Amino acid sequence: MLWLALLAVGLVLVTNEAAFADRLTTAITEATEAGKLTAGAEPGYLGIPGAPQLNVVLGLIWAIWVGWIFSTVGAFGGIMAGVGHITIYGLGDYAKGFGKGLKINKVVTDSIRVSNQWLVGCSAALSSFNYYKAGRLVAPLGIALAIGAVSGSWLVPWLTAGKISLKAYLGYFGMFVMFLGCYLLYEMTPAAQEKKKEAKAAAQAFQASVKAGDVDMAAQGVKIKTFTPTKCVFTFFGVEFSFNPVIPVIGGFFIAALASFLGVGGGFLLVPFLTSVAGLPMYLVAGTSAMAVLVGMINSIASYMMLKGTPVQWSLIGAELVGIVIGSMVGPRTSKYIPDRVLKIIFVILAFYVGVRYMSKGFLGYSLVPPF
Amino acid sequence: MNINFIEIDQALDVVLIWLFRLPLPPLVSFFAGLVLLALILTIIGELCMAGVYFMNRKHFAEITHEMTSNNNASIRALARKDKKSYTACNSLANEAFGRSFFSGLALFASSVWPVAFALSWMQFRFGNIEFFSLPFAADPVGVNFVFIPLYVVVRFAFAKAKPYLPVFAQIKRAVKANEFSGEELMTWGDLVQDDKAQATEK
Repeated sequence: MLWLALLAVGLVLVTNEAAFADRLTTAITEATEAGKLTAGAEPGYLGIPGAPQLNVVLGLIWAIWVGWIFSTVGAFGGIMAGVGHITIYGLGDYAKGFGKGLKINKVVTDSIRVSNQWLVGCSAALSSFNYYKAGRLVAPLGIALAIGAVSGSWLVPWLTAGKISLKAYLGYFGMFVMFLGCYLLYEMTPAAQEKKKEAKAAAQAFQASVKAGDVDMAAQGVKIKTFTPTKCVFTFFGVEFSFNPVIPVIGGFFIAALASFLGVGGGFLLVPFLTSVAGLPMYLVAGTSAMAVLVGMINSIASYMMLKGTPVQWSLIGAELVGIVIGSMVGPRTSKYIPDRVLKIIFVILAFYVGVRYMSKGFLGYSLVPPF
Repeated sequence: MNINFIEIDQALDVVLIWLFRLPLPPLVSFFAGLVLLALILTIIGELCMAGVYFMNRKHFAEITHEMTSNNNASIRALARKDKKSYTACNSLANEAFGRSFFSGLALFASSVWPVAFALSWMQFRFGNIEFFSLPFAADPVGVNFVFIPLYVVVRFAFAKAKPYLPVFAQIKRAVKANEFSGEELMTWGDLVQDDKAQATEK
């Protein structure tokens, strides 16, 4: 399955090499004719004449930071990769400088989005394969999520690729970062902390009290009690659970759409979503969420590249992968000295800063926070 | 200090182009070069992944242990119709899985980073070559159309061969030993054995 998935990604990627060139060439020609590009200038990002010369060292340092987040907090890593592409490399201001009417603006914007997704897609492919081998995928739920993911992933790029200017993209990206900041903030509230403490105490109490011989094996497995389009009630070892089958489809759609539009992974959104929807056990949530992320990613990348021929700067991805690896090795070592709470505070401040900055730049045209 | 991406392509060109200059007919030499490149990238990637894993082996063992013990407790709780304990253990297991997922992502990155640089180099070196047209694509395909599926096949074959390769077989065993904390990740099917085992112990 992994290999089929990688093959699918590969085929998508490779069938469109010429399409990249075409879309890019058209955009460069148009910008040159409009006097925004100087023909013959030194090629930079994506080979565009006069585009920023991306600095490998700077990219590497930023990616180390991204990798450090991946290994300590997790969810914020993809966001930070996006911030790097937009701000650190100066691609955001570069794309914006072309103004709304030119194709080159959209080519660069779409390229940023796809670059972010590659970082997550490959990993999901590997996890899905391993979970599949271990029999840890809930096929019906995975399929329901995939239906939503496929429609979300195809529809959003189809509707927005080449139509979203960097300015608007920045604003929406900022909104998403703000949302994440709020979620992190909620996690730090006494109520959420208390909930966690209770869970820990309950888990420990159970672990201490577990006795042999009191398992009712007669009720083992999943037994569907009622199934309607809006409610599925089933028992799992005699314990009743219920979920609405429509929710995974809608949830999958929105998460995939968001991931596709913003160029971030949807994994960190899917895991809590799956756990709360059906109270699924971890060993099934893991596989199912990885599969849904993978399906979403393949589709998203495919639609960008097949329908719109978006170019990717591979060496940039390579440098970032190296940085992420270094950062992820540093992360577990520093987390011993930086308490979890301090880490979360840093991220909340960062999320609000980045969120406000991008939202105001995107929607108002100027930044409310320094640098203005 | 500033190195530009184009300079990396140029530096790689000096080394990698030799893989494509075997004394064979041009087309055969080209495909042999692609296979060799895929194999070299796979070996470098696998060794890097092993290096990163063992540098952080304690971290990976901790996450795996936390995930496994909470997952197994949640399954046992459910088998005893204890929904409250199941939910508690399951939420802790999911939290550990989240950390494991992102750590795994970084680990996977350590095995594929060379591929990205190779793709960049191939775009630089063979970017202008048009191979053939596909019925459903408007434009002719380029070198990656052949290389990426080839890399997938090579990596898959390598994974199958790993247990028989000296260094890689040891790596595989060491990883397994590092993550084993006395219990394997349970599934529902294991409940019967688990229950019998506990009964025997007591």
